[in-house]
Amino acid sequence: MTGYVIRRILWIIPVLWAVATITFFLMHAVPGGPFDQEKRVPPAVLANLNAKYNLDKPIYEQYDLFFWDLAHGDLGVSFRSQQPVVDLIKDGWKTTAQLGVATFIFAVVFGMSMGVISALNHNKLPDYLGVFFATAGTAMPSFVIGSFLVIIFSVKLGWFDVLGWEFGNYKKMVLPMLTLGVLPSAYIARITRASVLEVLNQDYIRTARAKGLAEWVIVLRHTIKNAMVPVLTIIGPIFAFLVTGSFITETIFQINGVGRRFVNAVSERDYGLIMGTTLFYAAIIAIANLVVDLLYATVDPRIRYQ
Amino acid sequence: MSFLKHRGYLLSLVALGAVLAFAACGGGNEKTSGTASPGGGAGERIQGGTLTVQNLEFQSSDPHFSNFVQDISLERMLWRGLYTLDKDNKPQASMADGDPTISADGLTYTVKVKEGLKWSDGQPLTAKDFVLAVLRTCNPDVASNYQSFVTNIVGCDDYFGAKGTTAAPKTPTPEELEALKAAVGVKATGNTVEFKLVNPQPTFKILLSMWTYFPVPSHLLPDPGEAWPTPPSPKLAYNGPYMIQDYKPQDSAVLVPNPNWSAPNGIKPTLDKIVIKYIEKDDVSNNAYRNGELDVVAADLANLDAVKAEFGNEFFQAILPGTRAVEMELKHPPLDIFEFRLALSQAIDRDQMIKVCCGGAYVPTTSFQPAGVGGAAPDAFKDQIGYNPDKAKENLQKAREKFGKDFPKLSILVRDTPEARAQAEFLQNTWKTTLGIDTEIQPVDSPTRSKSLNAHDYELAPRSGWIQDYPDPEDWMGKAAGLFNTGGTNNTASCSDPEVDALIDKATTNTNDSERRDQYKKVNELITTRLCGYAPTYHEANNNIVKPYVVGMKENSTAQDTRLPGDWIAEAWGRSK
Repeated sequence: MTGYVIRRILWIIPVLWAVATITFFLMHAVPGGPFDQEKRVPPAVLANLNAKYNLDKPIYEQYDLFFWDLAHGDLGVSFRSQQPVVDLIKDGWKTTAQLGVATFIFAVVFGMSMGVISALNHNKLPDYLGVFFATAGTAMPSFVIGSFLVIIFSVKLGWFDVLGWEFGNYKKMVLPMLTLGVLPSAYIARITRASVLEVLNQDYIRTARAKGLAEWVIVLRHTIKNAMVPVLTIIGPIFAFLVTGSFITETIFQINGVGRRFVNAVSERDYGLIMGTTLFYAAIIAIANLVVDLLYATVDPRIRYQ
Repeated sequence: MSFLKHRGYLLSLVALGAVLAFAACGGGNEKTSGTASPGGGAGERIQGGTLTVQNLEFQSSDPHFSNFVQDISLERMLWRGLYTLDKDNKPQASMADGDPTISADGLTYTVKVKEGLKWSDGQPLTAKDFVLAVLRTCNPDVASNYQSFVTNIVGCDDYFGAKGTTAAPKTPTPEELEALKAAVGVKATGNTVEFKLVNPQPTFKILLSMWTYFPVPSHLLPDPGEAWPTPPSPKLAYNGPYMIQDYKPQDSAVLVPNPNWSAPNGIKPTLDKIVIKYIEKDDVSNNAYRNGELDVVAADLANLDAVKAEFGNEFFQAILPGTRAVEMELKHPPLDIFEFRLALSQAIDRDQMIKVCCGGAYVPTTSFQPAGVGGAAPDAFKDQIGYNPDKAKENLQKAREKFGKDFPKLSILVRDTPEARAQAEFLQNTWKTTLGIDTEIQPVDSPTRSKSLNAHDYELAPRSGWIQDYPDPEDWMGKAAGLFNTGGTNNTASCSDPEVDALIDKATTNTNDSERRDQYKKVNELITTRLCGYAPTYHEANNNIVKPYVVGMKENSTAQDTRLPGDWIAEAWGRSK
C-alpha cells in the first residue's frame, strides 16, 4: 500500500510536466500576446516590456527559465497585475476551496439522500420527483439556474445577496452553493439511485431480509455501504471540479475565486498566470484521483493495492 | 492616446467639457466655472457614510506603468500631480505653488512645490518626489506604457531605450545606465522642480497633471527602478484625497480619507469610506444595485431601454471624448478606392445603428475628432459621408467602374462580444441590402483582433477609434497619436495623404496656439471627408445608474470622467440625508 501511494505520487510529477509543457507551447502558439492591444505599444516600450518578462528570449530559453523558476518554487508574476502568481492563486483558491467544499458536502448529502430515497421508493411519487430532479438538474446550465435564483431570491424577495461569498454568512452562501451544487447533486442522485436499486436486488439483501433483520439495518449497513463504490468513482472528479472553481458561478456572483481568474488570464494572454493556474488545476485533479483510488479500499475490502 | 477597447484599454483621464454640449443628455448642463464643487445633489450633504461603487479591477496600481482606464480611475483617488485639470480642462496648480516659470525659448519649466505638504504617513512631500516620478517613467526596467508623456524631456528617450529593441538589444553596464539616468532633464533644487525639454511643447503643463507625473514616496522607494509595491496597501504612502485601507483581489478595494490631503481645490472628502467593488458583468451589478448592495453602477447596455425605463432619473449618461469608427485597411482593394469607402460610409444609418445595436447608448457622429477638442460637430460632415443610400449606390457604381470586376467578399473583424457582434451584423446587413456587398464576420478575442490590426491583416474593423488621453488636438490628430501621419505608431489603417502629413508636420512645430489648432482642425476635416482609414460612427459615453442620495457625482461629471461620474474629483463624492 505504501509503495503504491509513493509510486502514484511520483507519477504526478511527469503528469504535471506534460501538462505544463503542452500548455506552454499551446499558449505561445495562440494568436496575440500579452501586449497586443489596439493601441499599439511603441517599439521602445515593447522592447522593455518583453525584456521585463523574458519574452525577448528564444522560446526554448523561456521554457527552460520557467522550469528553472518552478523548480525553485517560483511561478513568476502576473503580466497584468505584476503580483506574484503564487499569491494570486493562494488568494483565489481560499475562496474557491471554501465554496467548493461547502458545495461538495451539500451535493453529496443532498444527492445521495435523493438517490437512496428514490431507490427505496421505486416507481412511487418520491422516485418520480427524484428522477425529475436528477434529469432537470443535469440538463439545466448553471448560468440559467444562477440567474433565476438571483432574480427570485435576491431581486424579488431580497432574502440573499447578489454579490460575493463569505463563509459563515448565509446571505452570501446559499445561492452560490445551490447554483454550483445542482449539477453534481443531480448526478450523484442518479448514480446512487441506480446503484442502490442494483444492490437491493442482490442475494445477500434477500438473505438479510429472510434472516429477519430490521429494514434500517439492511439499508444502512448492507445496501448503502455496498452501493457506494460507483458513487465514489464520480465523487473524486466532482470534488476536483468543485474545488478548482467554476468560472460561471464565480462570474454570476462575482466571487473572487481562482476559476474566474483563470479564464480572465486566458483572455488577457497573461502567460504567468495561465501557467500557474493550469499547473495548480492539474495537481488538484491528480491528487483528488489518487485519494479516490485509496478510498476504494476502505469501502470495498476486496480491493487491494500492489 | 489610446484606442478603444471594451474592458481594458486606457480611456482618457481628461477631455474637454464642451464635448458634453452635443450630448443628448447633456443638453441641460450649464457651462460651469472651472472650479469643481462638492455638489449638493438631491438633498443636504451629510458628513460620513459609505459609497459602494462598481468598477473594473485595476491591472496595475503603479501610476508610472499603468495603461488602463480603471487603473487611472483608482490612481487619481490616491495620488495627485503638480497640476490638475479643472472642470474646463485647464491645468490648475495642485501640489505646485502657482504656475510654472517658462524660459523664453520654451524649453525650461520651473515649478515650485508648495511648502508643508505631507504624505499620508506624515512624511514630507518634496520636489524630489516629483523628480523621481519622471525618472521612474523613463526607467527601462519600469517599462512604462505611457513613456510618451515624458518623451520630450531631455535624455528620457535615451535612458528608456538603453536596452535597445527586441531586434537590436543592447546590454548597458550599470555605470552607463547611471549616466543615462543622470542625463535626464529633471532636477530638484530646494523645493523646486526643473524640467528641460527637447522641443517647446504648449501642452506640457497639461501633461504635468497626468498620472505619470504623480509623485513617488521617495522615503519608501528611493530607487526609481524599484518595483512598485503590489498589491496596494496601507503601507504605501498617498498624497491624494484617499488612501487604501483594504484590498481584496477580484473583490474590492476600500478607500478612506487621507488625513494629510492638502485639499488644493478646497474640497475635503465627507465620506467615511468608498468601497469599490470589482465587477465585470453589468447585468450582475445591476441586480446588486436593485438589491441595495451598490450605490453606483454601470448600466447594462444589453438592456439599456429597460434600464432607462426602470430607473428614470437615476440613469445618467456622460459623453466621453472618444470616437468609434469603422476602420478600413486602405491597402486592401477595393478599400483603396475612395468611392468604395464613401459608399460604405453613406450606407450606414448611424442613428439606427446606435438604436439597434446599443440601445441608444452613444452619440452618432460623422466627425472623427469631437467639437469640444477642436474638431467638428457630430453632423458637420453628414452631407459628405453621412447616411444617403442613393448617393451610396452612385458612388458604388463609380467604384465598380474603377475596380473593373466584381467586388470580393470582405471580412469584418470584430471582438467576440455581444455588442460588437451586433454592430457587425447591422453593418453586414446594411451593406448587403443597400449595396449588395457581401461580407463575412470574423469574431475573435481582443488580443487576436489587436494583433491583426497592428499587422494590417484585416479589411473592415468596426468599433475601432480613439479615446483621448489629454484635451488637446495633438492627442487626436498629431504625431503623438500617430493615427493619420504616414507611418504613425497607431496608423493601422495605412492612411497616407501628403496634405495631411504636411499639415501635421507644421502643427507639430508650430508654437502659435491658434494656428496650431486650426491646422489640426483642418487635418480632421481632411481625414474625415477623405475617409482616410476611418468612417466615424459614434462618440463614446459612460452610462451609469446612481442612487438619488449620492451627491457630488453627477454635478461634477465632465468628459474627464474615466469610468464613473465625477471620478476625476472623487473627493467631492458624498451622501445626502
